[in-house]
Amino acid sequence: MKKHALLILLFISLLVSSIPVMNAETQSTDNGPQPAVIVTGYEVYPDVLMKGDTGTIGITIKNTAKNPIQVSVTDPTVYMLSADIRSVELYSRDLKILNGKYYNVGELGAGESLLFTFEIEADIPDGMYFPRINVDLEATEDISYQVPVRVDSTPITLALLDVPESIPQNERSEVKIGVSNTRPNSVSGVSVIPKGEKMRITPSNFFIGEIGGNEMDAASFNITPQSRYVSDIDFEVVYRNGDNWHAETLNVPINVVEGKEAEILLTGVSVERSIGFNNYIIAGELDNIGTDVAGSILIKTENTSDVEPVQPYKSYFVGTLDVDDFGSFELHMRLSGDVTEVPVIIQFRDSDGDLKTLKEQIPIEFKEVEEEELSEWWIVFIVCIVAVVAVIIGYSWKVAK
Amino acid sequence: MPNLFQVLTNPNRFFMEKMEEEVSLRTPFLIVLVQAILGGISGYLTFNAVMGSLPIPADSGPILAVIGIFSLVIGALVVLAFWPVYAIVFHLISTIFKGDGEFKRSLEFTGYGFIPSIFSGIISLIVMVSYVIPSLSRMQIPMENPELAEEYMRQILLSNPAMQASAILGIIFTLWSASIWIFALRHARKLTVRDAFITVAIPIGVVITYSIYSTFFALGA
Repeated sequence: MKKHALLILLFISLLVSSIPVMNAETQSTDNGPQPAVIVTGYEVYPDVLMKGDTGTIGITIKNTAKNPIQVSVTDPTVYMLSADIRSVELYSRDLKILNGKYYNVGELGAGESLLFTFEIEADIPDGMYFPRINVDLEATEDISYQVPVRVDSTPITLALLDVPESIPQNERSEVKIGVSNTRPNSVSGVSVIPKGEKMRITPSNFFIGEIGGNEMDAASFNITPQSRYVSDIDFEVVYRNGDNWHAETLNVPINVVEGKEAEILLTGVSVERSIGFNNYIIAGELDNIGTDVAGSILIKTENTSDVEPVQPYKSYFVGTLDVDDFGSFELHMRLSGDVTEVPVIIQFRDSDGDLKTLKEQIPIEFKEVEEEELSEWWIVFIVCIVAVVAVIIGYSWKVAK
Repeated sequence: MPNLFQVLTNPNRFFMEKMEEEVSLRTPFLIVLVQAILGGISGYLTFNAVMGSLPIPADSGPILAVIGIFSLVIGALVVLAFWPVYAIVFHLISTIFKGDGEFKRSLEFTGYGFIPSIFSGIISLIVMVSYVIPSLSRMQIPMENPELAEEYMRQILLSNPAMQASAILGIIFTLWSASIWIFALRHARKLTVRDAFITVAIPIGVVITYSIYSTFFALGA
């Protein structure tokens, strides 16, 4: 019985030792167990290319073998299971491969991964393309993998959201532009740049940033036309799809109308003499014949060598005049020399708070009156008379005593 | 004809001797008349000068001439009127000091006191003719505003240095007249020198004060 048991036990051991020890992650060949290399992932950048774009395809290759193994208990040989990669190449009939080959890559250890990036250019019509990646391995079968690459040239679109029917000259109006991304992927670095002549536009560049696929954003601008006759405004949107810059333009015609402006006119001017030599009073009215209110209206006499403003009204504050309103004023001055015109300055502020200044010349007939002083001859004469009279009076009182 | 020179140099003796004579208003009247004529001429010339500087129709010459002569006569009469007015004032004030004497004598003696005013009148006429009338002729009086025109003319007249000199001399001669009136009332109303002085000083003080004010201070008003 013991012999039989021993024989059976020996048979079983032989049988067991002849069975190769295999890991699920290994391949078995006549040369021993082999590593299992697979493509674990890929990335296309940008997600969706536009015609003419350059981009990259990245693939990750992994050696899925986990541990070095010993095939049998009797065979002490230990297999390391590293994958020897001879080359990795990208092939495509349609896409232009700018950088598609990796040679003599080397050993990829068990459990390790490698990322390979290939540069492509999609100078092809829109559509779906499947470039192929081939991994050439030593002592094992090659791997071939197809990566889906989509080309879609749908551009970003601009649309008018809010534009006034007409914009008054020299007045600020707001314009809103909508930026829509109807692409399946997001775009970045989105900016809207306005271009127009004879106008002031702020901001000069509206930065939006990233717009996701099938999303939109808006850009606002303030426009101040400086002339009645201005060009159309071109709104250009620049954006990036991956690393590729693109631009689209929207042309917006604008209608400029006469702006509201205050206009002050001097009327009803009268010139009168005043108390004091060479003093005059100029009186009149200031009329607002414009289309906008004028505020803080001040009229004053310009001080020159021949014209001297005097109190009580060196200047006259009229205040605010609405459209078609008028206000009276008077200015006091002293003249000298050969004055034929009196310069006056009119200042006021428009509805934007900007200071406007007018100069007017008021004609005047003036003849200078010279104040004379008592000449020395008169003083001497007076002194003599006083002396004579004093002597006579003194004498008359003296003889009266 | 009384010794008018003695009126100026020794009025005390003159009036003392005059008290021995009958009251006679003839000489005083002539003295005041001369002064009145001088004043009238001055006023007439001034009126002409002002009218000449205004835009007046050419055919209004005869009317203006009549108005001018009328203003001359009125001016003379005003000056003449000062004589009895002064006499009345002196006579009334002297009653405070129990003055004794008839009003006619006061009137007569007051008239002699106007002799220095003749000199003042002559100088005033010379100043008017030489300085003020030419200035007025040059001026453009703002006749559209009567108040302003009046103020303007007043300024021209009063600020003219010759007019100021004339005014100063007028005050000097008024003081000389006052000195003569003191002696006149001393004898006409039998007052002491002190009482006569006060009698004359009160009204003449007012006149001189007003004269100084209107000549030198009212100009700036």
